[in-house]
Amino acid sequence: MKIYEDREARGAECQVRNADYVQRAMFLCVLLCLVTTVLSGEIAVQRDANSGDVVLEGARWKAEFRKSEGVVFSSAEQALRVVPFTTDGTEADRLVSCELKEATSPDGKAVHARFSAGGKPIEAVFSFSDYGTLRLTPGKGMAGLYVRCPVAVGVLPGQRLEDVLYLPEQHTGPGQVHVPAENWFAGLLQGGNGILACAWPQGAQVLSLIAEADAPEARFGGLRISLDGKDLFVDILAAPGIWHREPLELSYLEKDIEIGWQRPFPATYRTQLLMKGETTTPRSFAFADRRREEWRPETGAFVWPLWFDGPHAWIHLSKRIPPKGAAVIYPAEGGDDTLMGFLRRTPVASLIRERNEGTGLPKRPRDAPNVGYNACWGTYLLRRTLYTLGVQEREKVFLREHTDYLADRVARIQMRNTAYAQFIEAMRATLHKHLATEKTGDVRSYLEQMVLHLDRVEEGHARKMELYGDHTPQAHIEHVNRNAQRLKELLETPSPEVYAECEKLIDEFNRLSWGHDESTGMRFSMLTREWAQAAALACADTPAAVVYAQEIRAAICDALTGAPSW
Amino acid sequence: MHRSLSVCLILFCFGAPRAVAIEEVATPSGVAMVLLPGGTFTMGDDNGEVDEPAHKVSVSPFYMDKLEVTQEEYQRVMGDNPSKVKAKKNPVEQVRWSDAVRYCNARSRLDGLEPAYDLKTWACRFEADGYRLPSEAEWEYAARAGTDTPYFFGDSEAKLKQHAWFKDNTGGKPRPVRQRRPNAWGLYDMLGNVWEWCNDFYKVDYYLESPAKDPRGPESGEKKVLRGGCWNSTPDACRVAYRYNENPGYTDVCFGYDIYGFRCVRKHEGK
Repeated sequence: MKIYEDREARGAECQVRNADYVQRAMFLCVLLCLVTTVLSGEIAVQRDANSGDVVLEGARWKAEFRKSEGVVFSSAEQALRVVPFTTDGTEADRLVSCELKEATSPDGKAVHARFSAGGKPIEAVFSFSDYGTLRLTPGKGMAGLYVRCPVAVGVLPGQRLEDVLYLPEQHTGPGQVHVPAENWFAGLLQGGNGILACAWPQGAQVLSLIAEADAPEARFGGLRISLDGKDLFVDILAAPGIWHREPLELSYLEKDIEIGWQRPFPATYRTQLLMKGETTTPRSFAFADRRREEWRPETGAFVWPLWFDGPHAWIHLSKRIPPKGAAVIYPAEGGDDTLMGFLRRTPVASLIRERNEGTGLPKRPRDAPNVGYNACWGTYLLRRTLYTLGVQEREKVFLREHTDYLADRVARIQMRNTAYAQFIEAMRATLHKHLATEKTGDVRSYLEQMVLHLDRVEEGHARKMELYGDHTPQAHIEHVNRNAQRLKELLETPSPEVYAECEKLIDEFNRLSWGHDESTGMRFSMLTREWAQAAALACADTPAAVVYAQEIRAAICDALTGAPSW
Repeated sequence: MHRSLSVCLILFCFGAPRAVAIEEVATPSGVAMVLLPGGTFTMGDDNGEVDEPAHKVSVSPFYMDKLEVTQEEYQRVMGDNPSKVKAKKNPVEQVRWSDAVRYCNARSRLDGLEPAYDLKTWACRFEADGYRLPSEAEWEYAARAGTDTPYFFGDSEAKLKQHAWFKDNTGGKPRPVRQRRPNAWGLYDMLGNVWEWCNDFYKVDYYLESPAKDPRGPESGEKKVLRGGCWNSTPDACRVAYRYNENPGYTDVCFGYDIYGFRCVRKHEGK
C-alpha cells in the first residue's frame, strides 16, 4: 500500500532551492509507486488536501469522490455514478466531504462520505476490497441510492428459477420498473462491455429500474435501491464483449450458425430462448462445450441450441427452439467476472447457500459408480449387468442396491407429487386471503392474474396425475416396492430362466413408474417456472404488488427445491 | 378393397372450381380409406416459416386412411398398444417412425399386400402395393383438400376448435378420433390430436430443390417429417403447411412420444 502525501506536504517540499528537480523526482517516485501498487493488486489512494477529493484505484477499478461530480465508480471504460437519497426520497445534490477510514477487510480501503440533499445531511461509508467490490454501508439520513448508468438489459437472477430479463423496449412508460429482486440483480450495460452487479443481505430492500424514455436507444437509466439500513455490494464486471445481444433471424432455422460474437473469457454463458410447445416464456440455456443432441420428455430430440467451439459461439435453432426474438448472452458462473463470481465475493453468497441447504440430489446408496442413475440409464444398467454372463454374479451387490435405489427414487417422487398438491392448495389459500384484504384495484388485478397462473399449474398437474389412475401415492409406492422386492429375489439366482420376468419388471419401472413420475414433475416444474417469471414481470408497474411477487417466487422456489423434492 | 362405402362429390377451388369425386373404401380388414384424386396444388405457405416456401407440386392418386390409426387398430395388427393414454378409440401414440413402418408392413401382410418397407434399411419401395406412410407432399395435399388457406377450413384460428384437438381444447391429452369436423375430402383429425409421421426425411431447404411431381423427400437425413400438430400444439403448428421433425427411432427413450401417431396411405393402381 502506498498513500500519497497530500498537496500541503508537497508544497512545503517545493520551497527548497532546486524545486523543479525535486518536484520532478517526486513526481517520478509517485508515478512509480502508483504503477507499483496498481500492478501489485493493491489500492492506490490519492487525496487532494485543497478540494478534499479522494481517488482510490485498484488493478481493475477506480472510485472517485469529487465534490464537483459526486461519487463515480468505474472499471475499464464502464462507469457508474452513485447518488444517495434520503428517507423522503430527496437525492443528494452535492458531496460535502469525504475522509479515509479503516476498511472492514485488511486489504481494503474505506471512505466516509458526507452528502447534502436539499440541505439535509446524508452519510455513507464506501468500502472497497482489493478486487474492487464496493460495500456501501448507509449512514445517517440515508435511505437508499441511485446507481446511474446506461442499462441495456436488467437481469433478475433466478437462482433455482429462470432468470428474468427486463428489456427497456418492453417498459416504455415513464418512472420506474419495479423488480421483486430477492438478494441480487445485474444490469447489462449499454455497449456490451460491462455488467453492473449488486447484492444485498436479507431485509426489506426495494429495487427498481429507472425508465429513461428520452434516451436515443432503448435503455434504463440505472437502478434505485432502498437499503432498509443494510449494506449493499456493487461491482462492475468488465471485458470487451462480456455480454451480447444476438437478433435471431428466421433464416437460422435448422442450421448451424456461427454468430458474430466471441466470448471474452471461458465461463458458463447463459441465454434465454423459447422452447416451443413447452413454455410461453423464455427458458434459460447454457452454452455447451460442443455440438450435441438432447432429448426431453414432451419435447423430443433436438440439437442443443448453443455451444462454443473455442471462443467462437454457435447456435442451432430448430422447430423445438425457434429463432424468435433475440438471445441475450451473459456470463453466469465459472469465473471472477461472472454473476456467481461476483456473488461469491460477498457475504450474500453464504446466505443463499444456507437457504439452499438440504436441497439437491440424494446421496447415492453406496459410493460406487453407476448406482444412482435414474430412469432410462439406470434401467439400462440393470439390463446390461443382469444379462451379461459372469458380470451378473460379480455385480450382485450392485444389482440389489441399484434396484433399491430405483424403488427409493419412486418413493421420493411420490413425496414430491404430494408436496406439489399441497403447494397448490396452500397457494390458492394464500392468494384468496390476499384478495380478501387487498383493496387497491391494480394490486387486485395482479393477484387475479396470479390465480389464473395457479389454475394452469393445477390443471397441468391434475392431468399428469390422471396417468396414475386410481393409484394413490401410497399404493403406487407399494406397487413399486413389490416389484423391486420380486426383482431382487430373481437377481439372487440370475439365469436365462428368469430373464423374461426380470425384463417385465424392469419395463414396469420404465413405463409405469418413470414415465409418469418424471413427466409429472417436469410439467409442474415447467408451469411453476413460467409462473415465477410472470409474477416478476407483472408487478413492473405496480410497486405494491412486489411483495406478493416475492412471496410467490419464494414459494415456487421452495416447492421446486424443498426437501421432499429429491 | 371393398369399394364405394360412399361416394361424395366435393366442390373445391383450385384455379377454377371443379367437382371431384371422393371415393371411400374399406380395406379387407375393415379400415376406412379414402381414394384421393391426383392433382396439382400449392404446397407450403409464403407467410409461414422459412422452411415452407410456396411452390407447385403434383401428386398421383392414392388411398389414405380416413382416421389416424387408433389404439384398437394398432392392437389388432401388432398385438400391443404402446400408448400412454390408453383408450381404444384414441389415436395410437408413443410410436416411433420405425414403429409406424413396422405396423405398415404388418398390416400389408394381413391384407395380402406386398410390404412397402425393407426393415433392414428402412427404405420404402413406393412401387409396392402395401401400406406406407404418406410422403410430405401427399400429406399436405390430403390435408388441404383443395384449399389454399392456412387451415383447410379457411384462415380463422377461431374455427380451429371445431376441426382439431389442440392446446386450447384438449385439457392436456390426446382425444378419441373422429370427434372434430373432417376436411372436405372426409379425412378426420388431419389437424391436431397427434402429429402424423410422414415417410420423408426432413430438410429445411428441401422445397427449393424438390421435384415438381411426386416429391418423396431427401435421400437421407437425421430426422423424419411430422405434420398436422397435436393435442398440445399452438394454432400456428396446426397449419396445413407447418413442418415438424423428429428423430425416427430413439431406442433408449423410456418416456415415449405421446404426441406422435400416424395414418397410412397406399398407391392407387387404377387408371
